[in-house]
Amino acid sequence: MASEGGKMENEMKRFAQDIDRIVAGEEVQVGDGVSDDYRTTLEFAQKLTGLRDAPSPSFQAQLKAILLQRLGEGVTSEGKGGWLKRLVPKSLVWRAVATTAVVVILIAVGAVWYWGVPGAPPPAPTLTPPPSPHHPSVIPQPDLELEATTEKTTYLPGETIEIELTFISMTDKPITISPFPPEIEIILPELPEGEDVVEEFDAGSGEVELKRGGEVTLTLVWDQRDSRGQQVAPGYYNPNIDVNDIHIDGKDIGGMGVCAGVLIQFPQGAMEKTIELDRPQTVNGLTITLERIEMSATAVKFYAFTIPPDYQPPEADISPYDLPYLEDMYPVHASYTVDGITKDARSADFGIRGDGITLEWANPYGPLDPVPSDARELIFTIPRFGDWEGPWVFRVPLE
Amino acid sequence: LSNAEAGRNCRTAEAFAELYEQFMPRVFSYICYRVGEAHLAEDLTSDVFLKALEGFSRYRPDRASFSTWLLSIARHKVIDHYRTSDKRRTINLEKAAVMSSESTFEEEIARNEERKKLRLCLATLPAQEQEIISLKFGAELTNRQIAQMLGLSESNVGTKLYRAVRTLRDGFRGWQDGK
Repeated sequence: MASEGGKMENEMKRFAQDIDRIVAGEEVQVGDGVSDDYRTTLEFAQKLTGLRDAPSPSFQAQLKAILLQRLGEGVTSEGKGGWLKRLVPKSLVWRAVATTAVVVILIAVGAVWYWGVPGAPPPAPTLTPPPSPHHPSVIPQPDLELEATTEKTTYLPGETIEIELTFISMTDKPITISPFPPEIEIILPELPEGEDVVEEFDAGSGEVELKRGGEVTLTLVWDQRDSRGQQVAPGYYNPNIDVNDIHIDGKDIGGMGVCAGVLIQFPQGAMEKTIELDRPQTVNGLTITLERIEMSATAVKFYAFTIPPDYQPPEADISPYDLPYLEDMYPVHASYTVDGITKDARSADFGIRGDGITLEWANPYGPLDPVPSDARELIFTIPRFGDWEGPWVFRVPLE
Repeated sequence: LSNAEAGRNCRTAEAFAELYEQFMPRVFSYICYRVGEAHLAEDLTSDVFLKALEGFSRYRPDRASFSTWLLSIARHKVIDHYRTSDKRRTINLEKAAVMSSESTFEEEIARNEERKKLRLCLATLPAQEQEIISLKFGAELTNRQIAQMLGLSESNVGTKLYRAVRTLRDGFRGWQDGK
C-alpha cells in the first residue's frame, strides 16, 4: 500500500510538470512506469488544451482599437488614478504604486504623441447595485429563468425552510418543460465537499407547458440538516438549487441553478451591542488599531485603522471607487473566533481617513455570521497586512 | 517579453498593444471557461481590459506579474458578474460555440460538440476545481501562480488539478461511450 501511495504521490508531482509543458504547447510523451490512470489523465489534459476557446479575430481587433482610443483619451493619466500618484511611496507597500503612476504618465505622453488626441476625463464610475431580495438566474436556455425565494431571511434552528422555486418562461412561444418536476438538489457550498448535498428530489414523469410569460412554482423543503442528518450550525447559508437533466421542448439543456440565502440564528439569540475599543497593536513596525466591533442580530462588523510607515495620504478626497483594486491585489484577510469557534471574516474594504487607511470587515454582500448573545470572548486576528507579517491578535471579552 | 518586463516597459501605445496581444487570448479563454458563453466572455473581457487600462497606475510589478494582475481583475470581474446578477455558473450551449478559422467546418462542428460536453462536465465540478481548471487551461497559469491567487498551497493545487482532470476525463468517457 505504501508503495502504491508513493507512486501516486510521484505521479502527482510529475503531473504538475507535464501539464505545464502541455499548456505551453509541448507534446508530452508518457513513457513506461506510469499507471494507465495517469496516462489517460494526461492524454485528456492534452485534449483539453485543444478545446480552448480563442477570441475571434474581429473581436480582438475591435477591442484593441477601443483600448488604444481610450489610451489616447488619457483615461489612465487623469481622473480616477490621480490620488495614487500623490502618495509619497517609501514603504514597500506603496513604492511601486507611485512607480507605476509615473509609467502611466509616460504611457499617456506616448499615446498623445501616437494619436494626437487631447486628454479627456474618464466616464464616471458606476455603483454596483446591491443584490435583489429575489434571486433571478439566467439559465442555459434564455427561454427560461429560475427564481428562488424564501418566506423570510432569518430562521431559528430546526425551523423548516421552504424555498419557492419558480420556472419563468422568457419567450414569446409556448414551451414544454420535461420531466416535471425535474431532478433537483439542494447544495450548501458552506459545507465540506462530499457533504454538501443536503436534499435530493427525484425527477417526476410529467411535463408542464408554459405560455408566454407563464411560470410554475415548486416548493422545496430543507429541514436545516446536513447530508448526515445533523442540524447545521447557526450562520449564513446560501442553498444552491441545482436542477438537473432538464429538457425544453424535448431538447436536453443540461443543468441549471439558482441560489437563495438564509441566516440560521442562534437559539439563544445574537449579541446586539457596539464595543468601542480603539486598541492599537504594533507588530513588526506596523500599528493597527481595532477601533470598533458592531454586533447586531444579523451580522458582526469590524473596523480598524492603520497608518503604514512613510505612507502619506492623498491631498484631496478620493472616490471610493478607486480603492477596490487595492483590496483585490492586497487583500487583508482576517478571522474571528468566538468561544473557540473560528470563522472567516474575509478581506477588508479599504477607505481613506485623515492620515491613514480604514479597514472594514463589513461586506454588505456577504454579512459575517453574528455573535451569540451568551458569548464570552471574541478574538479578532489579522494574519498579515501587505508586506507586513502579523499576526495582530485582539482579544475582546464580551461578558 | 516577460511579464515583469512587459509591465515595466509599457510606456507607449505600441507597448500596450503588445501586452494586449500577449495576454488578451488568455484572459478571454479563462473567462470562457468560467461563464461558458462566448458573447458574454467578450463583454467581460472588454470590461477587464478597460479596467486594467484605468487601473494601470495601481499595478505593482514587484508584487505580481502582469498576467497575475490581469487575471486577478478578470477573476473579480467574473465574481462580480455572478454576484450582481445572482447567476450561478450555468452554461449556454447555444452560445458556447466559438468558431475557429483554422479548421474545416466538420472539424469545428465536432470540436464544438466536445466543447459543449466539456462545459457540462465542468459545471459538475466543485467551484474551486472549476476555477483551477479555468486558471490552468484558460489562463495558462502555473500551479504556483494559481496557489497564490486562490490562497492554496502549490501541492494542494496540483492535487486538485489532477483530481479535476480525472473527473472531467471520466465524464467525457461516459459521454463518448453513450454516443
